[in-house]
Amino acid sequence: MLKIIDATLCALNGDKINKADVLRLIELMKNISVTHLQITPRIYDILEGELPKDVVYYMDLDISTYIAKDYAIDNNIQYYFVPKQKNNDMEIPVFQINSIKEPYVIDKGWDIIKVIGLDDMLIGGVDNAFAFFSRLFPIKKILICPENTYSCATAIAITFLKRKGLGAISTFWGIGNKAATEQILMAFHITDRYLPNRNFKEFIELKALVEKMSDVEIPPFAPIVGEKIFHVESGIHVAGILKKSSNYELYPPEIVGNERKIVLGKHTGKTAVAEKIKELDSREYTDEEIETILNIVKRVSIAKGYGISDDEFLKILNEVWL
Amino acid sequence: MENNAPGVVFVPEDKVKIALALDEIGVYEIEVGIYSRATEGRDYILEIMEKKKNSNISLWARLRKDDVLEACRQKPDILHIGVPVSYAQIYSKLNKNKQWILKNLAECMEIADNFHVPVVLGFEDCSRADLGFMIKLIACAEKLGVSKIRLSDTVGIFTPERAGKFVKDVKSYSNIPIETHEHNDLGLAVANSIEMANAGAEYIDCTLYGLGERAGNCDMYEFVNAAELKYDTGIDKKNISKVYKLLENILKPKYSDYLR
Repeated sequence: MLKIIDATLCALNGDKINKADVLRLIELMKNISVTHLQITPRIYDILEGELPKDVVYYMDLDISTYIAKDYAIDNNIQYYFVPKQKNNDMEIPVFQINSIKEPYVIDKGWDIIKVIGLDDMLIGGVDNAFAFFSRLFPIKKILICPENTYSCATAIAITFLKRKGLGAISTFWGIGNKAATEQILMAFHITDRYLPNRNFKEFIELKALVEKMSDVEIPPFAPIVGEKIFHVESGIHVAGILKKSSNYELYPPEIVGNERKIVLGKHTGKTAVAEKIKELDSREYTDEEIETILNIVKRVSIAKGYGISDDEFLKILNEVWL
Repeated sequence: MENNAPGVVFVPEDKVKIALALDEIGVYEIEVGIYSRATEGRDYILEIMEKKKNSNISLWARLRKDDVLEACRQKPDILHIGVPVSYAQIYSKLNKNKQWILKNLAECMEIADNFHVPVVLGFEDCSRADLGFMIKLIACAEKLGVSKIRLSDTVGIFTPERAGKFVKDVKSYSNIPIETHEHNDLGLAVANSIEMANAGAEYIDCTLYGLGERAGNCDMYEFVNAAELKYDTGIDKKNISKVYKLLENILKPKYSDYLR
């Protein structure tokens, strides 16, 4: 089984977090089959120690909290991430490795370790990266938490898991400069048929919840969860998608709770105009009229420097109809 | 500049501004669009060709004689011809067959050859295509004088290891230079491009802000930021930021909609 440990709750540092939202986020993570979660003492306190069942919890401790022993010991927390040491079976030592070019030595006696950073892991090539691990520590005993300094964190997590590394720690949309949980899940869903009969409609609610609980606004073209990633304008693409969506879509939008939308603009073709007419208007138009409408759409779009809204399109249709 | 990000419209004046800014910062090649007599005409292409100092200016065309002829008449430095190579693209989208591809390729190349325009062949949807057919196409393309092959991961399905292996496989059959074209559907466009460069790809397609269909393409700033740890791209990332600043005033309704 793919071991993804989601650490979104640890990346939500603001004051917008309440118990109900944390409980809902945990529920949604379970619904998308992510049952390993990293939490902090603060999240534990917000939950008043009431951790939902059927989840493996990893408590992340910074040095001062660990030394002061200022955290709860709870049977429902299976593991504690602690700085470079281990005093009992529940503790997993954490190492920060920012660059694989630097020499690191880790005692091979540990049973499991967590490695944070690895920012440049893929820059020198995948094989080179795993040669580094073969010298460092066996990957089947490493949990990695890659950082996204070079826009490669998700790729690092995926590559590591494909090479049978123990697990990867990520956050929703990669908030906090991490790998993105939903991107890892979908990459395995698509390329390895992981959870083949599953849909991930909860991404939409998760996205709204994460935005509510943080100051982050997830942009419209974000991979997997962007609101507009299934908007399609270009004539070539619309025609291809209408013949068969898989011609230009990696997966159907419904799987991630999204929907396809034809938008009209400068790159639009006749097929898209005809399809949009079907969607918005009951009147029948001749080929010649559709050609006229297309030319107006392109002209208006170029003049305003943006796409055409449905209302604007209806106005164009009414003008042509008259 | 013509990478089909839905809702994004670059009018000819914008294209001239952006192209000259990219030329200034040392981008090797700038694809300025698809020639269209009906919408933009040719004036902006001529203006860019006349004023640019360093970059190669390219146009994109479908594998159709008329399109290639019109594009060649604009005398770009490079012409990209998009060639569908997967079953999905050839049979399901175009309702054609492999023979049709080979025949049209020969006809289009003859036109480009007559105009002395170097051609890059863009293998569309290569990540879902049969390697055997692509190897056959490459052999044919080399005979016809194609200068480069662009590997388009059209639906963004590559992961780094598959992307790198694919480039190595192609390189094991041919020495023709390879260009990559990654989509960011799984958030892997930068890492895939890096791994493809590591595997021997000589040219990397990027777009500003990663603008492109669906979740976009390989973001130029992000790519240079990562690649400069190992490669000299010839582009200072601070200068890319200046071009992004220019775009803030062009992208509507607001540029932040296009951040990822």
